[in-house]
Amino acid sequence: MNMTGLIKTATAFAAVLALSACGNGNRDAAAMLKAIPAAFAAKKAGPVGVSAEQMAQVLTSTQAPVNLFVWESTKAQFLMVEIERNRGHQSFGNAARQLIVIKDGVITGSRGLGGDLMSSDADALISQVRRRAAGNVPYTMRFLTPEDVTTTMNLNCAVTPLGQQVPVQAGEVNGTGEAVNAVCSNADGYTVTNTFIVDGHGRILTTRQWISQTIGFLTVQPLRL
Amino acid sequence: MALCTAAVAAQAQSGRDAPSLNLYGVPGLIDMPTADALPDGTIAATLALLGDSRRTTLTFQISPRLSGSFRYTAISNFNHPRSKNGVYYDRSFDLRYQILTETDLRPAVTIGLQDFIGTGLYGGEYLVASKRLAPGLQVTGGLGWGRLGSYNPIGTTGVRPNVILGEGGLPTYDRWFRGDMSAFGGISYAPNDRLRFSAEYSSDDYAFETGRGRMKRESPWNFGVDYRFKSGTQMSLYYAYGNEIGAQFSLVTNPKTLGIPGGIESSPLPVQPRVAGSASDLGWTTDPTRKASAQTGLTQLAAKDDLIIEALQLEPTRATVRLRNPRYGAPAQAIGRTARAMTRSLPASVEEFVIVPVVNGMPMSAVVLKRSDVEALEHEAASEILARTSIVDAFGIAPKADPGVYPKFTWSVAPYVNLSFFDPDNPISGDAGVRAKGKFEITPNIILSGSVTKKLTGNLDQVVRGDKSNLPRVRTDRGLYSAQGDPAIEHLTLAMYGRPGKNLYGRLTLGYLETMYAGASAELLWKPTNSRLAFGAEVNYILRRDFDQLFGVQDMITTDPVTGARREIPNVNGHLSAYYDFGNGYHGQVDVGRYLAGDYGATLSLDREFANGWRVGAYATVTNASFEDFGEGSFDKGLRFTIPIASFLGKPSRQANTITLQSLSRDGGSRLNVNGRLYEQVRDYHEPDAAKTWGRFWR
Repeated sequence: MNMTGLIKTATAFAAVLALSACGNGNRDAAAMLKAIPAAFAAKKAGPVGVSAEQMAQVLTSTQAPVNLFVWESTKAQFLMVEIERNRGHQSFGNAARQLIVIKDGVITGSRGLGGDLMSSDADALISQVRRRAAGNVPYTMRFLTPEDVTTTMNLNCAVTPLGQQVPVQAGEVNGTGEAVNAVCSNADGYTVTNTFIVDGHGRILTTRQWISQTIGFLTVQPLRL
Repeated sequence: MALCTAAVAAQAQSGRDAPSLNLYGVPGLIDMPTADALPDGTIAATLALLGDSRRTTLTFQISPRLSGSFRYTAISNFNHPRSKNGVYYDRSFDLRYQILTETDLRPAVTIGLQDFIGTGLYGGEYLVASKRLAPGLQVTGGLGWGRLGSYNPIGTTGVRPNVILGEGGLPTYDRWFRGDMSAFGGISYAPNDRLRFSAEYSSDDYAFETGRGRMKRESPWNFGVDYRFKSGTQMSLYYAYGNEIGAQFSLVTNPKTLGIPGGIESSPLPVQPRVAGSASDLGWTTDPTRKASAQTGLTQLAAKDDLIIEALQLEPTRATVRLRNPRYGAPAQAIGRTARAMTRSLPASVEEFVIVPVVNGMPMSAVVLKRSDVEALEHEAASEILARTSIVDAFGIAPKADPGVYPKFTWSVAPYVNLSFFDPDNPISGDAGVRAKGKFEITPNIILSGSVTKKLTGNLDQVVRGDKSNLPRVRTDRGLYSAQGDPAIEHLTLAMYGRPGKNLYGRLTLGYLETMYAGASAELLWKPTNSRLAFGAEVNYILRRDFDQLFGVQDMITTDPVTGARREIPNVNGHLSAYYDFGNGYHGQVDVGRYLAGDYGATLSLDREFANGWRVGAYATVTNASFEDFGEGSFDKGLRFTIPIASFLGKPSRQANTITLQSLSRDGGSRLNVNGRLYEQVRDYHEPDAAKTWGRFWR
């Protein structure tokens, strides 16, 4: 058998048999091979909307805080319910076992979205935004690289209240707040703009925030604070 | 609404100024090199065609300035005594070092050794400078020796010898930068991120190809166009040497950037902080039901993350968990998820978490955490929890596995492909078939395991190297094993693992150890949990298996097919090993001892290791078997690649594939291939290794 013939035969053979691999041990390799045809055939998932009925249903099924998220790059909408609270950080989760961590209306971490925000030092940013005061504050975000090494992004945020009053009405949240921008830049000149709607009590009623290079922007609309 | 001005971070190595790969698969113009270096860690595979020459090159950027390449060349219609059916095969290694990086004022300067080991078909050295004059516009000029000094020399530096050292396979240091010297150079322009046009003046006269092959070299001028995809894949088309058409295709990857950052696996359970004041409640200690429900709860929560709690030892303020991690490549992730599950299941008075990862029944380390730290630092940088974690020796600490966990039987049936690369007679050969594996864990550390293959197709049996060997034929009879071993028992062993003392790990393996040898293998490893250094000792008593790879063994006398010489394989071999993790991703290993053929010597291995488990390394073995006795290649050397499949799955996995490219499978410097060697099992859960991926603790 010549070289090309052999490779072709071996590859086809391995592919066919991988699909039929079996056992009760670890099957990661088979899982990977099985995923290949799906990866080629996969179509981009269309935007998934959340209906008013779904929101109402979730709000009646729990007493816990509920958030509606919009993932800008995929246009996906999804609901998450608070499942744990630890030192001011609220962990919101869904049935797909994804987590978004929020502290006082600002996203401080995510898990299971791919390219997650592993942690952040956002206290100064949170306090400045809630006070609706202009000023510069430090803000640190941490990510994992594909190599599994932690990278830290040190940003400086220029917080600016925009003055305009915005009505916010969603689920059980019904109020008016002022839009506040936080323009955050790192030393390399990478700049993102996060926007918050803050009410007179310093509560953040809506958030549009950059999470990571992979995830991009998420918008958080609390349905129950 | 908010505006996002996402200024892309300065990426000099991407876009219009990204280095191109040339016909040799190294940064270059068309056939000539440039002084560019690829981004650190880049792995590039290039298939290049120029007339009758086909070059397949694998280049690895070993460090930001140093790169190495391995190349396999086939030249068709080539009149040479070593040609097979008119095709001449040759292997070559290159090394390049960027002496000066480019600045605003000075060019980058690189020194290169091309085909610097062995017979030297492409043997040449160069000193090359490249400078970017404007975005996308680069000029290059260099001086070449050897092949790169063969056309229109402008000077000479001594006499270049052309004798082959040893039996080939040795560095051709006697030739480097000697003989005629020629100038080469060129220019390239990339109008955008995708396209690049190049023109060069080549200093290679292609005397070998024009003399023995069909090539006609009519001009030193070459022209090319590259197209680069977003993924880094490069396709090029060339018009070269006046009447040749060339083309190349390169796939480029980098373990540092391949895959989804952090993975897409589901989120961990949130930490459940204790209610204030609850930690003083010790009522549960007298209530067996609460104890039992704590263990059930922990086991179930951990199982959701594919973690196996084999035992839980509960004390009023401390819990010790015996953990098996079949899932997470990064140990910190397994530890972190276990700690999270412990916060959600254990009584509030338990303040100290001791997590003992166990592999093959051996407790690898004890990871000690304070529950209040886990609670306080859940949303902080992972370095914070690392600073408060201690990883200590688990000798005598691990609780015994609960009854019912063992014995355990696992099995699998799956396809296999065994490939053999770059044999001089056959560039690629291989077998494919079905492999059935079974593992019976009688106790946690006594394991009966076996693997049987049934070949369905292949040609490895044709790799019968009939040439003579001046050593006992410990590996050169491989073709006979392949031809007769169908079905074959690859191994069938009883292995015992244990912890003979503090910092010590032991293994004893009995049975059919590998495809060619049966017997007994014993190993002892010393490695403290916080040490970058480890020492090991292994001694083996072997019997030669029958060629059919079933249950029989044969005598240890081998007969050379050419000379008829009869030689005996010694029963005993073994090694002393030292392992050292240099940090920054470099790892070294030295093995000194007696090899299968009875030759004494040492193997030196150096690996570039990435935190996520990718590894690219090289090894060389020199023994007291003379270069002549060893035969072609002079001594054993090779490259090895470890590729974790998690990079492709996007989800955690402990599985990885290791591919070894050996120069030639000869009898000298060959070691027994026994399964379950200790070092790789142990180091994972020790601090220097675990800390590399500690960012996954909270993932």
